[in-house]
Amino acid sequence: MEKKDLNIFEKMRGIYTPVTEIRRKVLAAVARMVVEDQPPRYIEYIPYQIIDKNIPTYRESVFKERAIVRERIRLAFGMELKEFGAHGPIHDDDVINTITDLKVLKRPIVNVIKAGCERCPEDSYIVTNLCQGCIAHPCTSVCPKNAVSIQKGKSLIDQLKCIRCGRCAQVCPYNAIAYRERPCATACGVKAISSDEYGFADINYNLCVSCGMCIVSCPFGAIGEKSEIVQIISAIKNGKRVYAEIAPAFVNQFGPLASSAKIRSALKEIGFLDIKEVALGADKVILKEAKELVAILENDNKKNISKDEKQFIGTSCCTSWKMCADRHFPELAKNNISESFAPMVETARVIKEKDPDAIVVFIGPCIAKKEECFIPEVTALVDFVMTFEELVAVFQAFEIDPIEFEEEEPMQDASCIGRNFPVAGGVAQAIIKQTRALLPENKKDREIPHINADTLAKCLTMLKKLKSGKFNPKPLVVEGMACPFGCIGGPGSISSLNRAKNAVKKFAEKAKNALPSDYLKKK
Amino acid sequence: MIKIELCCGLNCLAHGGQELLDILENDEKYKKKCEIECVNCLDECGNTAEKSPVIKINNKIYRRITSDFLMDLLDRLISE
Ligand code: SF4
Ligand code: FES
Repeated sequence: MEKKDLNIFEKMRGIYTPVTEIRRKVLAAVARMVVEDQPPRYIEYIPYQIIDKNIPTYRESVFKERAIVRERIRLAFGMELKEFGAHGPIHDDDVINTITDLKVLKRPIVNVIKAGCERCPEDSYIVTNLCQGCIAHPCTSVCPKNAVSIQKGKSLIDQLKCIRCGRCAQVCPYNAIAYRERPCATACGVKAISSDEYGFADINYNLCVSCGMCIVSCPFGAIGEKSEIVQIISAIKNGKRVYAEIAPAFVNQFGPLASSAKIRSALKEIGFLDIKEVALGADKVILKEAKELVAILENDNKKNISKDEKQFIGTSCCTSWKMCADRHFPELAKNNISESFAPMVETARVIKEKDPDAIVVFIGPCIAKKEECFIPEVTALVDFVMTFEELVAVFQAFEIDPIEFEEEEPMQDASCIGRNFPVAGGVAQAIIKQTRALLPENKKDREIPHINADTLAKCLTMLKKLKSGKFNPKPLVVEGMACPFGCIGGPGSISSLNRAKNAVKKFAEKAKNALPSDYLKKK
Repeated sequence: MIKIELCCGLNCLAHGGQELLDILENDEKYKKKCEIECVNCLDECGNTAEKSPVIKINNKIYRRITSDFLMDLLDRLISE
């Protein structure tokens, strides 16, 4: 049967691997420890709960397995990783100071757990044992660098000479030459991963935009992100006024039976005072960006638009995309990517306007939002961020399952197009739909060219083409998303892509209002 | 008809249940021959990863079932 070639993002997607299992177990154990009010010393028992066998299951020894779990626990508490070679009891660090309702998270968010990294070689062509040492050996003839030779009856590639053109692999009748990629580096769209002097993966934080794609792509689970569940649970336990805002990708993340109302009830049971859909903030962003687009369209008749004027609307909701565009195409980004803050921030503003003492927790599929919280204006509005995966751990720690709750009135905070945000292409469509509604009758049908890209590598290609004016007609709406297939493909998501996509669509159709302008007052 | 009750409790879903659901939902063969129902926590998992996901096939409980095992089992039941 024909099998489709899968890219790095699709390969392990939706498969429940031991890597996922350990990650989720650690989060659940940490959450449980805080919920149960265990003393800080308890932390040392967690590695033994998770790696409870006497013989190794995953790596060469149980001690190494536990050492890595220990690092994961540090991350789950929001602590810094220990320098390589300086492993020690976690208890020696400031565990007690992380069990607080204050923010402890520091940059960087995405970290390589060096002890867990298997030092995968960088991308290279290698001869596998399928090589039959054939007489024709076309691999040697096609190599433009004379890098392939026959040694001991098998072909051999001189890695120093090889330029990775792939010709040898292409011509081998046995498909004996394989391209071996380094999973973390392949997943990284901004090329932030290289090797340190020992060959361990190393992240260049001047390039990293915390999209989290390396985390879910490393088959050894050697990269992890810091978490804030401990502080969130502490805030709730300390009786703070904690609110949740839940990203539009949430539908179906907790299973087909967990409706929006049930999730809301479950969150309230934990101790969140109220829950808002982030799609509400998305609506505000749409309205703002649509107005900007209307302004651009009105300018249309002017002949020479000066370089400093807005030429298109670049979406602003994906943190990683925005950071990446700002870094690599600063002028393009400065003039054209909307200044409006992300839906997360707008929703938090709504909550904080009502209750100035509110502690706002953003729940979504996204890791980059943790990074966004370091922007001063955002810090003031969004207090904590947790992913869906982390929320599951919190639910488990409280022994709460959303589906056990009674069905009630579904959430109804946002419009249909706002709820469609998390699927790639949805943001651009939303802005266009809203813009059409704002345009005067005679102009409603005019064409609004638009483009979109998902994954950072594709985003960068798109920006490059955009800068050199390769698109015809010139797009007026440019949507960028760092995660494959949009937010539903985010590193903190649980549901499979197809199911998430369908569920988001269905949930959007249930919205009372079609457009943000139907219910938000026009300022 | 094979009667399948797939646990869609939070614990089972987070620990492999999603994968089973994908298989059951996407394969025409299973859709035709099985009656698939998503059910609440079957109270078999003890809220830990060790025993989940849980699935009930023709009233028999299977714990910590993996997708390869499930496909193999269903294929056998279908051919019977
Ligand atoms: S994929 Fe994982 S194990 Fe391989 S180099 Fe990257 S971080 Fe290390
Ligand atoms: S969640 Fe499946 S048996 Fe409990």
